[in-house]
Amino acid sequence: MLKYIIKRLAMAVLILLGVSMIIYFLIRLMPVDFIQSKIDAINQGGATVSEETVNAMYEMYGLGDNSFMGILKGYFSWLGALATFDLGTSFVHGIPVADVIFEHMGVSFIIALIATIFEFLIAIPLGITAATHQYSIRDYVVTVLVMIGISLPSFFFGQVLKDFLALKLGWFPASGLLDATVSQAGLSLLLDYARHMFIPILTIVILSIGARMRMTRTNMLEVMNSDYIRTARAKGLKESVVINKHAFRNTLIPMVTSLAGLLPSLFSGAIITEQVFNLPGIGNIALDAMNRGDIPFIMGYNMFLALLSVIGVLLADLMYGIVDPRVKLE
Amino acid sequence: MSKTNHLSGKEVRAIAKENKKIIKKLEAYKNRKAPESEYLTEMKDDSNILEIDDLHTYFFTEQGVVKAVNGVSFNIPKHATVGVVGESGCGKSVTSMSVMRLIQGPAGQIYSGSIRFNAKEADGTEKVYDVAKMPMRDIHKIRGNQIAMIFQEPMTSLNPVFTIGQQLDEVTFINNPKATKETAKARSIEMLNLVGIAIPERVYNSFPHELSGGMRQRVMISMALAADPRLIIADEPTTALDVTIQAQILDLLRDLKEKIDGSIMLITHDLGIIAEMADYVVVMYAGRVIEQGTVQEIFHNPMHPYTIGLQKSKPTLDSDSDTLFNIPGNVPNPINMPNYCYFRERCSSCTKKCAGEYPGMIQVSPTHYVACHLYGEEQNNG
Amino acid sequence: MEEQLKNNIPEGTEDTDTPLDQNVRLMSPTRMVVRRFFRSRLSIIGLIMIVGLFLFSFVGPLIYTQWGEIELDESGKTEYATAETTYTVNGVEYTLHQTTEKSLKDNFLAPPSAEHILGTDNEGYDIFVRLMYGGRISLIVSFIAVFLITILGVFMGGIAGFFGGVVDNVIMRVCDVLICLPGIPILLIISTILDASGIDAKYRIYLLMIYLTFISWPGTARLVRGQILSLREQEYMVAAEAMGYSAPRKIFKHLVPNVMPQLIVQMSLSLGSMILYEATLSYLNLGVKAPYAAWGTMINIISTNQDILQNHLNVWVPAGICIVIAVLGFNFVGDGLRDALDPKARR
Repeated sequence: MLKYIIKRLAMAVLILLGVSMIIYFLIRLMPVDFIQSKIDAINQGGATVSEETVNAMYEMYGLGDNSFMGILKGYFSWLGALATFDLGTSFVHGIPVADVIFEHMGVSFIIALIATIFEFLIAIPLGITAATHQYSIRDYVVTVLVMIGISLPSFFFGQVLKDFLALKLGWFPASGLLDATVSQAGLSLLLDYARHMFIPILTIVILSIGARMRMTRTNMLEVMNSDYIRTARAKGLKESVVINKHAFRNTLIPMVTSLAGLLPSLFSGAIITEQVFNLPGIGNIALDAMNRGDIPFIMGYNMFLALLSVIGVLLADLMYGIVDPRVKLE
Repeated sequence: MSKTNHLSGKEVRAIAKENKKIIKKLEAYKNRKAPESEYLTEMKDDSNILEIDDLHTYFFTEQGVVKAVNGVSFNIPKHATVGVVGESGCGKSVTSMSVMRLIQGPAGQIYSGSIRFNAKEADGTEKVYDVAKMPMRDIHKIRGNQIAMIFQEPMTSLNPVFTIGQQLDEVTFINNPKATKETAKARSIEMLNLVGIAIPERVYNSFPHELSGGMRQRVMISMALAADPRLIIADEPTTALDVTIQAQILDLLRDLKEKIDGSIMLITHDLGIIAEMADYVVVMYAGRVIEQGTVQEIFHNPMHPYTIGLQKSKPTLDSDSDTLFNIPGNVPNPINMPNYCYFRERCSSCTKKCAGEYPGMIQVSPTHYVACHLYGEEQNNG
Repeated sequence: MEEQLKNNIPEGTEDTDTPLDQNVRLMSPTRMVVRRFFRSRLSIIGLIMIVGLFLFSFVGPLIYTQWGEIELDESGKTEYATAETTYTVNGVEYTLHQTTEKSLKDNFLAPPSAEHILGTDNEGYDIFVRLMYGGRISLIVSFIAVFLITILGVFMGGIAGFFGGVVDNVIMRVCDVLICLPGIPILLIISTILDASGIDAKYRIYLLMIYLTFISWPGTARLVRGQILSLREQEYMVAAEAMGYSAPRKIFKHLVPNVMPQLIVQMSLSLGSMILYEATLSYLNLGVKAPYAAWGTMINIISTNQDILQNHLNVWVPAGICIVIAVLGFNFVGDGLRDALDPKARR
């Protein structure tokens, strides 16, 4: 077990190295004068990018030296900084990139977490009924819903919900995280957060529920056709027990595994949804930073995302070993 | 009827439409709510525990109706072992699944016929159910506690995520609402002991994947025994196992037959097993019973050419020939079966009469029946 | 009830001369696939959606030639503003009526009319026509991307699965890396690079999709590799080996046809996701840029313009509906194909 984990960790580091190489290579494709023009634009936009920050960045990435050895040196100096969690200083925000990420991660995480909880709570029962009533009206309806869910573009559907629920009906605020006009505390503050987060969460849930339902349904169908379900029925168990105990416990394996794999990505931010509802989450901040050419932030954020997905794969594997008694991690 | 060997689009659509209609009716019948009186019936002969009477189990596929069980009738007497033999695909497993009502819908359906089962209630009174007419919601009345089943694939028939103990205890809990954790465990250990497992406590706490195939089959058998059923259906219980393990499991089944107060329906394609275990034999071919009788009758006086062929194809040490006898051809695909003897084309003793209708059951002795034109006039009694 | 049912069952034919096996007539394999595909109403709907969109995007502009993709409606309109000023001079009241004429060059945000079926957008382009051209871009770009992904994926997966060992290991690790690359953020970087190098707005979406190809092939490669690995274990492959067939012959004659069904399903499903990707990129103003039309670009305007979001639904909703129809269509067809080609996947 320990040996397996160590092996997997080594693999994860290798993957991260690969990702870092690609990201570094991409940044090196950017002409230096272009970067300078972006910095100038940021300066004109109100923020001031200190000479120091820019120089630090040049030094960290080894920009300017375009010889092969120069690029290699630059890569390793950046890698060295990465290893100490030094992601450089953001141009736009004027503070270390890691701090920017930490500051805005929370909002994204809470929205994503709530959305994921609802997604699982709704999708799993629906997927199971669809599977246990295969080819029925229920199954048909669920299939159509699944298809629509995975076919809706987030930016369009988010805007439709925003236009309808917020602007036309006025039930919810259209954007932002808090009502700026009133100062509030305690419960009313919490309620205000909830009101603002409602439509974004609704958007994410509706969009992600389809794939989850399909996964549950496929899994459940596979399990329901297995020999041990026949055994359970032959024992004289009621159909509800067969489904809710014997079959469900087996479908849970891929569910829990994928949930574990999903956990890290909850921190990564939903770029489009956050942009549509103008939420101060990490995704929206990143989009803005990228549009304005905040190079240190871009690189830091990309590495952050890669790290999250590597951790996700690792967690999913470990979880699989925990929930499935057949699997021994070797 | 078109000349090509493929179905035309029109025919396919007609089949689909027809299937949909029939399946809808049968499914509604299966899922209906019904008072017990609707499926209570009487045994024809009280010495039987199970009477299968003109059972038809069909699979409604998009290629046509597969009549997997096509008018099967036989009885299982109390305290007897009945062996059902036939090649693969002859409908013997489907018959047993029909008795357990485990036919996978919506395509597979019991189409008609009755399965009368003499159930013994907890208070000792006997009730006769027509299993084929029972709604699915009441089926738990007979499954497990009255009729238990041992399946062919011990490797996949146990739920991989529960321990053996959990799966065994469950049987006790279903049938005895008063059972506590301790009594259930005691009962499970006792059952494991009964099937000859040396260290029952350890097996009790193991997961299925930690056991060998033979061990798993023992567990399956103990699970079937745990509820004290009146009838045990063993569907090729040894086919998936090594030869040495096969012998052990058969010994075990034979021992148990002495110990338990019930009947066994043993399904196999191995005549050797039948000879060792069974009191009565039912030979099936292409969804029909072609010959039935006591084990002596079938082995010493086989009458149907197919039964004779089956016996000849069994390898023996003292035969002179160095090639095995085989029956030419395959079991026909049971779609659109014509109304003449299905074995006609593979039969070596085919006569002119065989061109006629499907032969009826002919009684040879009080227990011996055969469906073949070779033997005299058709008599009544099916 | 049973009696009633019995009459419905087609009884076996009484034809006693043909041997048993010839009484059995099965469906031909092609018919089975066609039948399974059309059995589901959803696949028919999906097919209609896709064919409709193709006609709309590719034939539409040939028939409806009133406006071009980047042709502004310069008919404009003249706005008149009247102002009244009242002077009091020596107790006498004078009213001055002043009319200013303001002529706008472009006819923007026109409501739907005979002239413009879906009205015009905030620049004065005809929305209906731009939907057609947007459809062209979306469909062409996603077809190219899926085509490239499939070729690259089959090639890499084929090599990995066939040669195994070190080759397999290297290719699979590359896949791991590519799968861990963040999608949209990296596309943002690439878009910035394209900005810096001053590529024509018309072609940048193609370059972005090529990058997308580059990071998307691992899915297909894993599928192909997995299939090859499992097929290599099958008896008929052992038989092929025993017959002394050469390596390429083995792959192409025996393995590829077995991977085909899954590949076709995967292709049709990824067409849907590529359309979504393209639309998202255009929405973020990274893909097709003005003045050229793309469905995503047509929706982009509402992220900055509240007035259009609320009051000019005709500007952005049709584009969104087109995206949904396209993606839904490909997903329906893909699902139908999965049922038809690989029945095991459903059961």
